Amino acid sequence: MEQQPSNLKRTSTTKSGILIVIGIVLLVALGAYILMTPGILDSLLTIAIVVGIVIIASVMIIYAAIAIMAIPMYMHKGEQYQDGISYGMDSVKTVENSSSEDRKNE
Amino acid sequence: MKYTITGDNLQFVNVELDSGEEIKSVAGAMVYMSGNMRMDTKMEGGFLAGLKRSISGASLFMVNYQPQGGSGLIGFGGKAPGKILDVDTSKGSWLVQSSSFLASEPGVKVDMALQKKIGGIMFGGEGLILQKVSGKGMAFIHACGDMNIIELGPGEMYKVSTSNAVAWEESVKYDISAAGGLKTSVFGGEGLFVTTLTGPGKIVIQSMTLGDLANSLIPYLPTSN
Repeated sequence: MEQQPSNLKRTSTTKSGILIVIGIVLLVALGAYILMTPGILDSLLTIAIVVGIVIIASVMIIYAAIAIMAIPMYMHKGEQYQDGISYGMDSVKTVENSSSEDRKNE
Repeated sequence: MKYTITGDNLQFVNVELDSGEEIKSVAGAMVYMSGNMRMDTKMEGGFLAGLKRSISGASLFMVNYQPQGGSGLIGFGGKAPGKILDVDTSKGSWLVQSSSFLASEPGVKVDMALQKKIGGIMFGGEGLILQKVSGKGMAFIHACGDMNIIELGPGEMYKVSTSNAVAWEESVKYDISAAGGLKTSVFGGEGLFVTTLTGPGKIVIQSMTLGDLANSLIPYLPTSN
């Protein structure tokens, strides 16, 4: 005999399903319209190329800035270390399995 | 809300919610839930807050989970081998590396935070954008590898390999320092800089980043030959 979950309720998802189908149809229609209209496709391609070039150029500029700034920053920061202070293992704790009960007991 | 964090390096956070309680997560974090749980997706805080959250590595939409007419169970998991850490934001705000936030009680706010120091942004390893978790309640964060949690006193400082700082309390100062002299910088394997975290406050450090894991696997990836 097939078991059914107890106290089962069902909320309709028909409207959501219809909206998803409409969305897919609209996307397909938009895609088809763009493919059938060469002017739009050319414009979109141009925009995509320009955006791509801008992104690549920005990344290269950022990396160049990092490379240029690395040595001056290295010289400016220096090696920092503390002297005359002790550290021990007591302060280092591994993250272990825990629970809300553990937190209550802290 | 009751919870347990179980597993070894691919952990679950299992949450039991009483009737009327709820929990929220980033999209895609839910692994399982009992039959009486319902999920509802919201763009919490409006489009701008959602966009900021999305840029910080969380999701544009947050998913709320609520049991119907009784207590319910839900489990969340991360997307990479690693640990899940529970932090109590009622005791103070935390800054966490981007994409680390997993789930939290409704009173917790997840927002984008920006690093303030140019050195930290460029060479600290965590980048410009972080996540800030604040408010009231428990939050769960996930990161690759195993994690150590260290409580720093005022003026205590830890040097951490860049990218390995997972989270730190807002009271902790995040900066960088030179790794060492010429030989150390060139041959030491840490590069020019290490991250410095200065107390007071708690810091969380990971043993391995997702980038480390990916790099270690590259030589073993199958090739067409």
